[in-house]
Amino acid sequence: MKNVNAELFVLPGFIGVFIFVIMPLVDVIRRSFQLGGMGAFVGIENYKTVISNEAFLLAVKNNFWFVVISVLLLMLISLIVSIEVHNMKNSLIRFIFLIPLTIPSNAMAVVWKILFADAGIVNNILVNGLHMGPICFFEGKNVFALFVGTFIFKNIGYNMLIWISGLYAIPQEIYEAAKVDGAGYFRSILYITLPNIKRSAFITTILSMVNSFKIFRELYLIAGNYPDMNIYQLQHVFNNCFLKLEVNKLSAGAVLTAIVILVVILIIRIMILTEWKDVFQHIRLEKWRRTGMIRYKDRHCVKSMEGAKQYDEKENI
Amino acid sequence: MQRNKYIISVCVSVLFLLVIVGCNNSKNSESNINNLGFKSYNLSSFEDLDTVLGVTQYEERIFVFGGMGNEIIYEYSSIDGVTWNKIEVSSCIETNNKIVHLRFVDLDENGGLIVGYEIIGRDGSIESCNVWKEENGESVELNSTNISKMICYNDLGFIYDGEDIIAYKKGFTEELFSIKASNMVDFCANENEIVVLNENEINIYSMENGEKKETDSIFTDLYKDEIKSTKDRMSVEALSCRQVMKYISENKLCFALENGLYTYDLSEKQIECLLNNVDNDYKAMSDVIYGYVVGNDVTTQGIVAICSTDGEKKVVLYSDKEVTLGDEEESTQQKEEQSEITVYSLYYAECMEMMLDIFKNNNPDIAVNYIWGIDDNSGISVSDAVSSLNTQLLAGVGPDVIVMDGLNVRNYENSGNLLELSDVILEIEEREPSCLMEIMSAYKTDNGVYAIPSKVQFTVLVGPANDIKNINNVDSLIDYIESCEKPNFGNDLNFYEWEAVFDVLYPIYASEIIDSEGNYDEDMLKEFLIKLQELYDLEINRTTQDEITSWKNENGEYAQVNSITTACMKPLYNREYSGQRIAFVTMERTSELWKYYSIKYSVSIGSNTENMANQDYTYKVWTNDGANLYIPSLIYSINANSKEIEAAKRFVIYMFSTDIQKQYYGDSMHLKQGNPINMDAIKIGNDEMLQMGTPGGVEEIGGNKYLFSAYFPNDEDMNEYIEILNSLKLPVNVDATVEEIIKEQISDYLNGNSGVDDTYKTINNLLNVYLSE
Repeated sequence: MKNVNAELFVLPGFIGVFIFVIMPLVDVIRRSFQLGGMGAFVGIENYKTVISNEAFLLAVKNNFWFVVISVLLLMLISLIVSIEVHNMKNSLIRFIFLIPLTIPSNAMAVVWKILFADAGIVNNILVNGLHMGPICFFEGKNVFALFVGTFIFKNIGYNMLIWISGLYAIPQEIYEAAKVDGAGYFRSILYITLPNIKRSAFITTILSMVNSFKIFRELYLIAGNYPDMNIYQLQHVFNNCFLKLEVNKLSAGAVLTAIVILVVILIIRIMILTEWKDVFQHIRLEKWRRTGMIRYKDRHCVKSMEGAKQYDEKENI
Repeated sequence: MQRNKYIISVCVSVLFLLVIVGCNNSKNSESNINNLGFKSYNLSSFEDLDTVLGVTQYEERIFVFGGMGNEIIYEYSSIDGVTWNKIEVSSCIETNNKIVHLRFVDLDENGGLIVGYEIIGRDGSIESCNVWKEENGESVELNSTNISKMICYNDLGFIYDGEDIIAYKKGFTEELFSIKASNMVDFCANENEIVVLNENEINIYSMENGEKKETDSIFTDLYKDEIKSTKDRMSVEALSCRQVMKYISENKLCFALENGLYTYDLSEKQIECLLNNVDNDYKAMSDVIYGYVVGNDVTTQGIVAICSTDGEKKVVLYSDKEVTLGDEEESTQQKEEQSEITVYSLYYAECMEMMLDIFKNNNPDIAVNYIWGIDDNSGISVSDAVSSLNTQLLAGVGPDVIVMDGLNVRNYENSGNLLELSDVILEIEEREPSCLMEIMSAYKTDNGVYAIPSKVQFTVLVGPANDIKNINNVDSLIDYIESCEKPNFGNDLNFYEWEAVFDVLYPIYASEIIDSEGNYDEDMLKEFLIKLQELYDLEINRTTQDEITSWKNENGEYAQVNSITTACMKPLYNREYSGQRIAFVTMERTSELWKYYSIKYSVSIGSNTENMANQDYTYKVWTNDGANLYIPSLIYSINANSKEIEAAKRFVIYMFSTDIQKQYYGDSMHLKQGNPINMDAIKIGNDEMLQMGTPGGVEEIGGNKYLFSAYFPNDEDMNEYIEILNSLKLPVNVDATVEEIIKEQISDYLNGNSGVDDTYKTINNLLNVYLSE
């Protein structure tokens, strides 16, 4: 009876997900194999077209670098901020970091234009206040850096919340015990904090990666459909394909992107959540089994990893 | 603390009261409007009524006066508005071989005709204004400069000359008083008062001495926009009369505005909305109400109006009573069989709305809805509007007919969303053989035809034949300008903003930069950038800031005006004064050709001698490899998923008919109406314009007044225009996205913030991405 009730509660949500997520997804996959997105079946022709498309490749390259640089920087900066904020007694300070999250993209685009335009406030300060040369923020590598900064500025508060929830889950007693054992501030972070926030790290990485695609809103509002080559992203390709009604390219590109993201998420999951120490020892046990060492293990009743480790240390292997 | 609480509660109470008072006020202004829910009924139509000179009532009969040519007046009279008695009142006026403009006809207190007319001189100016009276068969010459409106009330007559309303004693023999009313929309009179309506207020004047008694702005405040649009539309069929305001009873006025019929009680301040375009089907935008008669009790008797729908003059009854007419059953059946189509254009266009009205009137079995992506006030971006359209098309619920201007025809064609239109072209060819097939087939490919342009624009060089014969490219144009002395006012081509230069020059290069097959020529892009800068710099260097300011003050900012073509050509009327010799413009509509011919003949008002100063003018269509370029406009496509394909086809075919192509429509900023491609329509349209008299206006250059004729003055000119349209061979492929990409970089480039190489590199990169997408 308990199980039946639970299913009933899940059902409305599932119907919503089925209609609004799964069905369109299946439709997109179907269209990616059709001529013009609605004609005859053409196999992987659309995928070939997309993969050989220069604009798509440029967008993939730009997206890759944007994700790598911005997500890594965001993770690092937000973690440092979170640890500091977590240790602070004044809880109000963490809300300050949430303010950028509340700024609508349109407003941010307007403010950024005022600030960073060629004759904007920042250049005015640089030229008139600091007697430096003006910087063209909306061109070349500068525009890339500007949007990496924008992404970090906007998402730091969001990431901080996830980090802090992870930090709260670490029992304070461990820190106190480490302190008694003579561990310093950085040792505590390295050996207690970081190993205990792996799950938060995984969630933060995935969400940051997904959010890095959302910077398109600001990009689009500031630079339009055809921005500087350095910030031309996958969403520009998709958006422009839709405007040209090239549904086939759009669908194939979307499916490819989804697959790549899925693979990347799996890789990140494996990289972050796997207990690599256990894995290595498991590999070592396998090695023993193959070399006859397992008989020794059986004889000495080495039944656990810990036992194998102790045996290694004893035998100085 | 207690004090703070007290202050806060007082503030909140004050705010609350303000809100209450505010709400109450708005309620008050709304509450004095009653909606009476009138309906309209077609009573009859006039087959041969041309210009409507007057609509009035005498005793129980309704009288309509129509003009035919210069001398003949037709009098139609009826009791019920259904059956009419027609009398020809001819040769009543002594013309002495002069051109007579019949302006207004009314009835005096005895039912005798009073005819207001103007005598026109050789130069097109008004020589005298006169009134002819049937009572004694005599004419009286008035002191007025023109007759903009004439009414008779009892034994008094009133003439409005565009500045003043002049009241005359019986028989128009003696002036009684005059009322200043330069911005008037309409006026009417009763026994005690003369009421003048303008955009801001209703002014009431004493009938005794013409002194102002009262000003009322309640009605005008509520219907300011409607009054303004009514005034703006009064220039349509300018030779016919137009009654906007009438007395119903001592204190009650009736208003026939563009969007609704209203009554207003001056003493009670009570407004009644008889019908409007929101709640009822009042009238189409292109319809004209010339005049109406209304009894003392509007609710029982209704209003009988003389209207025009698509040139057909009709009698319409507006009433809240159910009226049974003979063909009602038929119309109900028709309604049941009616199919409905939706026409979409990316930009709102007044011309589209007017064309749709004509179509609806002539095809009652097809209901047409007009929708658009962007209007001047919506603030929607092009890509948002296109996204919205594409979403509808992919969902299979898009519009039936799509006006492709601003959209990429090839993209929509390749997506499979457009219907193949070869059969439509064949049908048009059969029905309208004088349509230019070459232009209609501009978008024909091996796969068929998916879009058909119904109008064209073309870039021309206007100037003395000897001067422009050797100007074949931008270099020679620049050389020519450099060889000329700077004009006395402004620059040589009247280009004061870079957008103006860009918009004329870009179409010439557009197809060479990226052709219709998507082949991109980088060298042409660079050449375009260089030539654009050379031409712009040359023009701006010959211009002072004061001249730029003066131009903007006179003609408006480039981005906010519909077109500057006529403004660019205007100084050519008097080239001795202006010093301007040539114009480099895009002919976006027929009126610009009328302007050219008016300049060529430069009829100087007030002078009896023929002006030969501009006889050497000619216009040359811009060519590419010897072929005359043209820009297709009002391009029609049909949604392949439309559920009303037959109706959509009929609509598209009708857009090429003489009914549609002969008309001149209102201008819009983004979607230009273009020049017709139906040659018969040009001839018929011109004949109709000539039948109306000599429509047009006056242009003043250097103190001289010149005539602007809104028609082709003679057959040779019209044939020359037709020949030019026939010679258009090379369609220009203007891709809106490419244009936008280039345009975005041009401002910095022309203002010197970016060099030609940097600009070229940036545009080149973006275009490569666009083309490789």
